[in-house]
Amino acid sequence: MKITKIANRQLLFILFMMRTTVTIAFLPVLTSADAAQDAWVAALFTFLGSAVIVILVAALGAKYPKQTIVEYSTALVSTWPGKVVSAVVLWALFTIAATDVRIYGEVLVTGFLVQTPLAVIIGGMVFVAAVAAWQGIEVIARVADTLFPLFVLMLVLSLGMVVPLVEIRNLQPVMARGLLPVVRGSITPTAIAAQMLVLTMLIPAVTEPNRALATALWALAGSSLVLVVVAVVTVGILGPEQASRSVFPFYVLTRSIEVTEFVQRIEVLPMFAWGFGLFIGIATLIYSLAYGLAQVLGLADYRPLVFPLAALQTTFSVQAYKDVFELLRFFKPRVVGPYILAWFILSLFPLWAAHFIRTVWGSRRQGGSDGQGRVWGQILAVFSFASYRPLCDYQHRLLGSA
Amino acid sequence: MLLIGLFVTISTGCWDRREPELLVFVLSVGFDKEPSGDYKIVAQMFNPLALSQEGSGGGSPGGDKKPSWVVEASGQTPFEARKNLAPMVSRELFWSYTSTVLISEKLAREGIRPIMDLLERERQFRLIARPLVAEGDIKEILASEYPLEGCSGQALLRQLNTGDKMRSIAPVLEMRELINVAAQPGRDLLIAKVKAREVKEDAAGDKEEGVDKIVATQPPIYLGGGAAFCGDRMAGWISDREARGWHWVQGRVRRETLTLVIRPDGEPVSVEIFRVQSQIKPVVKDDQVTMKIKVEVKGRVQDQVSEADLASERKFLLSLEARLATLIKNDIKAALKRAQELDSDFLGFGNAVYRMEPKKWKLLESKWSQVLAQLELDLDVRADVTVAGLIKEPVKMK
Repeated sequence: MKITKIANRQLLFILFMMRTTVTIAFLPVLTSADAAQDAWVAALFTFLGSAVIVILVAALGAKYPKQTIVEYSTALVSTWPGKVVSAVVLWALFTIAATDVRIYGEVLVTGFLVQTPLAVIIGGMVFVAAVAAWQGIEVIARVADTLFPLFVLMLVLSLGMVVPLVEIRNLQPVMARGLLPVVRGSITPTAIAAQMLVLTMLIPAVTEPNRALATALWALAGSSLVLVVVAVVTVGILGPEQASRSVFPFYVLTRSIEVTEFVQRIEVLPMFAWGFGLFIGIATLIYSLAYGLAQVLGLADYRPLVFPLAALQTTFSVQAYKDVFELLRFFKPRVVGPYILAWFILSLFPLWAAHFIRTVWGSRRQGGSDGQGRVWGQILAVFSFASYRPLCDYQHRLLGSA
Repeated sequence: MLLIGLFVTISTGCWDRREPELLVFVLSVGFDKEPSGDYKIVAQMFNPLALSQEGSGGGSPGGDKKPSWVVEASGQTPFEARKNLAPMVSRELFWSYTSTVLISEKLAREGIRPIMDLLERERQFRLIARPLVAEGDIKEILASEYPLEGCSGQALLRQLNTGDKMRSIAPVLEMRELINVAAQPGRDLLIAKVKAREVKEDAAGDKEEGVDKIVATQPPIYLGGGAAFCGDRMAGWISDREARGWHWVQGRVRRETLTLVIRPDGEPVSVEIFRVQSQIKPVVKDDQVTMKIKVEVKGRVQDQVSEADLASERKFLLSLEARLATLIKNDIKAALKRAQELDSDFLGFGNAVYRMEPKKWKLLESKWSQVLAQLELDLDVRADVTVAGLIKEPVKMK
């Protein structure tokens, strides 16, 4: 395949827009559990949790700067287990893209285009994104360059106009119910950081792969800052109860305020921003998906896969969730938490184990065989797979019935 | 491929197409309850044809159209009632510009949660609308003629904004705040009250048409006081003065004029308050809660019937300020007394405990009603009269 390169700055823009869009669309720190007025603390926790995910994904990728996960997983845990790992990652990218675009579709169907079928909205967005993906990551990156200032401008405008209406008393009492509600609130948005799995495909395309981890962390920090501000503003204006009950709190907020008699109905600003961010996100996801799949199948070019995948994407996005309630249920911590944990246990945990053993082996005996590392990697893969159930049980015990 | 392209371009634009010519804007909406238990909706629409009247004179199609039309319908749910308006109206009703929501006393006493649900869930309504509880007939309020405004919806909104700016006797909220307050622990709703003109055979109506009639037109509504709620049900009315007490506690006074007699001649002076800051701090000792409320106000002298020379006699000014503080304290006490009578914590004292002493709130929450009944106030009101107006003392008659 032709080698394409994007700057680290562009990667940062892509990741920032992708993450910010989804986390503020339905504000899971607030709506997925009972964090209520402490949603902003949950947003801080989310940053920590997501940082762990980013490190898991990007640090390993940076160790193999010229390879995608498809290539280095084969090297680490041999061919077939490697393909399983790749398949899990691809499935994750596919699901994330489908869910992201579904959320966007639901916002539009709820708030603006009530009669329009979901498939049309989603299909339209996926089609446009697929065109960008077909053009390659360089094009997506350049579009991100163009849209990023607009994206930030819209966010700053919509937030800046509402900030004066914040009432601090809506945020009180702070942390009165202890730590658990906050932890519960941060699980779903942390799980959504699984988006960062695109890094497994993008790192070889970056000009400075060894700095990719820093880039990703900066993107995460930026979007977490936005998330904290949005959480404070939304709760501060709508109040904890009303905001948690909303399906799309930030959208509800922007449409229910009057800045002055002449400046109202500012909901178009965040809607624009979401459109931009989602476009970049979906295009990147489809690109990574097609690129990875082409590598797994040993194809010379990923392009023939883009449009079929886009079609599948649209169908899956419409069919995977029967209605908005099911979509929201998917984002309950006890559903999405274990699900996304499973992805990591089946993909990155064994790879890390294998990598670790390989480096230890390699340093202990010079020229030690890779074969032993692979065997150990496989054993550890089975072991981490076995740990899945206890981990989920532990999460459930910790959270109660969230 | 071409077919698909054609399909996409044609169909996407059409599903949610809306032609402005087919719409009519509802500016104000009222909700009431029928004796049968059905919800009744009263919609005040703005007639776009009346607009063309001004521009093109009498010759236009809308020659003598009235700017406003009021229609009512009922149904088992508020939304069904709204839907039942459709067979009576030639255009599609459009609710995004609805700026005031009137609630009848009967409905308020039976519970307003269904109305809140509709207003919050339905996508056309916007939560910047202002709620009002109406004393008297809603239809009367909406159908009355407002001499200065085009239609009742505009008039109500404007009067709310003006009233909030000029006096602090009606607690004007937006739906957004109302829903927030309703959901907060330890706080009950207080919604502004609007009173319809009493229908009576006024003498002016019998006189000949012309100047007399214009002069004698009664104002159609009076905006002042409020409806205190307990949960989603109205517990009772509160007076202008008690509503003012709420404004002091909340620090929401924008402008309010207080009139009080002063030394040395016992004649009145009007002082306009133009800045207020207030702080609440609960002191909880077992079941006894004391609310420490600190209010700081700044005022200016607006007129003086009294002949006191405030500029040179400092003691008169100090006495004026002390009396102002007492007046404000009495407002707050009156508000609390009414809250205790109605068992409605519209002043949000419980909420102050919840916010500042969340652990103690857990213990008090279930018996808050008893606690409220014995709640005590520790008021610290500081009034400063800082501006004298353009003259410093009354004219000296010689």
